[in-house]
Amino acid sequence: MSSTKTSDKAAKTADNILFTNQRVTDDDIYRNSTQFSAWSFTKESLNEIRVELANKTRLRYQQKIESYFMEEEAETLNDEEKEAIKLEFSLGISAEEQLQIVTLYTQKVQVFCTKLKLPSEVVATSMLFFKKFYITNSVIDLHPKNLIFTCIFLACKSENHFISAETFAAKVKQDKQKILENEFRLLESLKFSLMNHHLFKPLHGFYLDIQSVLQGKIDKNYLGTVYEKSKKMLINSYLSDAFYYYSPPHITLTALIMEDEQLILKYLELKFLGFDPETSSDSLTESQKISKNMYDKLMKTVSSCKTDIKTSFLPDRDTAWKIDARIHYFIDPSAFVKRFRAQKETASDITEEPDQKKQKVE
Amino acid sequence: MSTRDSQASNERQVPRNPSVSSSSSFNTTNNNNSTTAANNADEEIDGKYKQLEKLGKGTYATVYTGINKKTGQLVALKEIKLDQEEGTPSTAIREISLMKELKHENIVRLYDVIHTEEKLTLVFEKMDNDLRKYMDLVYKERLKMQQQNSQQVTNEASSAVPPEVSVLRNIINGSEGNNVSGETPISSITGPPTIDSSASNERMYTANVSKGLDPSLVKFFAFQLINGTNYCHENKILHRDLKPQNLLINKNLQLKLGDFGLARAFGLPVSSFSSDVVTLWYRSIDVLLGSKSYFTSIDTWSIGCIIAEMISGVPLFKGANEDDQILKIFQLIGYPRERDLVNSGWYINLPKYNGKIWDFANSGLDTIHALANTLKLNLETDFLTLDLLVKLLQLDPLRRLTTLEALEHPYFNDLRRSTI
Repeated sequence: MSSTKTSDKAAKTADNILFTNQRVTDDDIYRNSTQFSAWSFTKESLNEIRVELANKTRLRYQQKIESYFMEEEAETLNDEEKEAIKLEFSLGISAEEQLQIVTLYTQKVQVFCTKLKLPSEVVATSMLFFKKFYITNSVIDLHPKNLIFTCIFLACKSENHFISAETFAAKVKQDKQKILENEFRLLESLKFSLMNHHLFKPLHGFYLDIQSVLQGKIDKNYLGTVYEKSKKMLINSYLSDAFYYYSPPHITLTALIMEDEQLILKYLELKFLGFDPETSSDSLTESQKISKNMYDKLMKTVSSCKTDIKTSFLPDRDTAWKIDARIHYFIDPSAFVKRFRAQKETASDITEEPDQKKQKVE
Repeated sequence: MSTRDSQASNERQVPRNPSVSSSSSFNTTNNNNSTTAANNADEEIDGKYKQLEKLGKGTYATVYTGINKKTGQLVALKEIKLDQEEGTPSTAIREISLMKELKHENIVRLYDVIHTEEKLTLVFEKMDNDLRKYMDLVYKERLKMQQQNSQQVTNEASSAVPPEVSVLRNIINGSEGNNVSGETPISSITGPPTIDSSASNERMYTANVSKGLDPSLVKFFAFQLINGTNYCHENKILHRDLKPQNLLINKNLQLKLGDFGLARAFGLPVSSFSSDVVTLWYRSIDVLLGSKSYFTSIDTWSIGCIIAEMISGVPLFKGANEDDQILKIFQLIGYPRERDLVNSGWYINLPKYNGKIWDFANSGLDTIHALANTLKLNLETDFLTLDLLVKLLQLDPLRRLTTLEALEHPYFNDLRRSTI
């Protein structure tokens, strides 16, 4: 009896292959990937996670810093200083500030990767690893500058770009142990899902498809430049949050449209519609209406993706410097007191100066 | 993970809970809730699995049987020591990266990754044996049965269970005759095509006890092997190290691909892989000749070798070194020759090409006869088996069957027909 049961099961396996003999598409693979299940967010949910992290971290440090000043330095501080400390540390590092500083350091990751002449996939993976780590870790707990090379080294391993730790450390002039120190923490924060569906494969796919759809209507050299420029834009797009919100082909298509809107729209029209998208819906057949619907939906996604790619979280120099200084105060609170006193001294110097001048005049 | 001697299983006292043995109940890796920071999981996981007996030691990992304390589910714990020099070994990184994405009935599931002080533990689905060990056990059992039979009356022997099944019964019940556990006796849940015990019996009386597996079981395993590999290829992943030791079997005669330490994702373009992959005996001829740009065809060659090995019980090409391996392949399959009509010239630019000698050697026209001889198969009754093998063991990588084509080969027709 049970033997027939098992054989049914095996036959079913065979059936699945035989009767659902459809090609597995890249989209199927993407939808089943951990990139989709574990690392895709809505804007709201991602923001929520980031704000929660900022709040939790702030509370944790507030207690720590309070007890530090109460117990260890309470007697050396005057009221004014106590007030300043309270004000400084009550704010914590906001979710927005963390995002700004992380984006700045992600750019540094990109710069270092480029210097090391790493393949695009490794560059992109390094940047993603870096950004993902700081979704669940505060910059106060591990300063971004200490994670740059750990990310790049792990990305090399996971993207199969072999380089020994020794060579790597020598190339980037860093201490090897320092690089390896945080690798586990990084792996854990990445939930051990390391595989990324990058944007370069869809880009190559579009490149080929555009050529076949617009055959004879397009200069191949020109398309080559569009390809190269789009690729640069795509690498930069890893600085944005687009990767969490959209599928790789959507981001790629958006970048292509940003590069040459006229050309790509023409391609999409021919590919999906075969008629002018401005045609009023009354004169369309049923199947044309369906295509038009899909086309409109795609355009909507593209336009919202465009906004997200363009939204830069990069802080200006001044802001970056300020945030970085404040991270430093959290790590070493006594530095804040020192700085506060120094500032007061210079400030009083300045206020005294005019008096002296006055006296001279008198 | 891949090993389990029957002695070890004797000591197993853990009650099995059939309701949790399905893999879906372990789907903890696919967590949509991204707020669960890994930090929290760490403490909980620590008390989650208990380590049982050691199963084996590989190049970069030690494998233990483990048990999920909450559910009683047995698992395989692959412990990876951290390298002070390189951090987490890149093979482990690669295995984790790929296994996290692969969820298929013919691929060993990665349930969990646990990080403790000095090591990394991969928690895998527990399997009962690897294909190589299983075949050895079946052979030993067959020898034993033959000895017993020679002392008994013929009639009694005809009711005997085929060794393919009795071996599993020993694994599960701990010892022979001790069939008191509440589990379904394995003899009633054999693999789909019920093993023809009369055929096995016939073989038992021959002085030459077969080292291979029952033909219907070979087919069932072959199908699962190709099915699992096909899933990898669909996911754009090459296994690169298919061999009997890496194919794991459980008591339901399910076969699953394991050990993805050498596997890698492929994209475009595919070139310059290391040619030092795939254990020598299962290495494809193009790689042996020095090809560095290979594709899914590297895995299909290994599949051909493994199916042949299941039939005969011994590795098809047992080369002592690379050159000997190449020679053994050519001696059986034939040499690629420039004057042959069907010749894409795939080998001309390979480092080890030696046209002068090859061109005067045997052509590959009667591969099917050579294979039939070696595997002791009948050209007529076993035609489909031989045809599949010839197509999998094509020298020209571009002419080798893809996994999808192999699944559609008429050899598997009776597996399909049984549903209708």
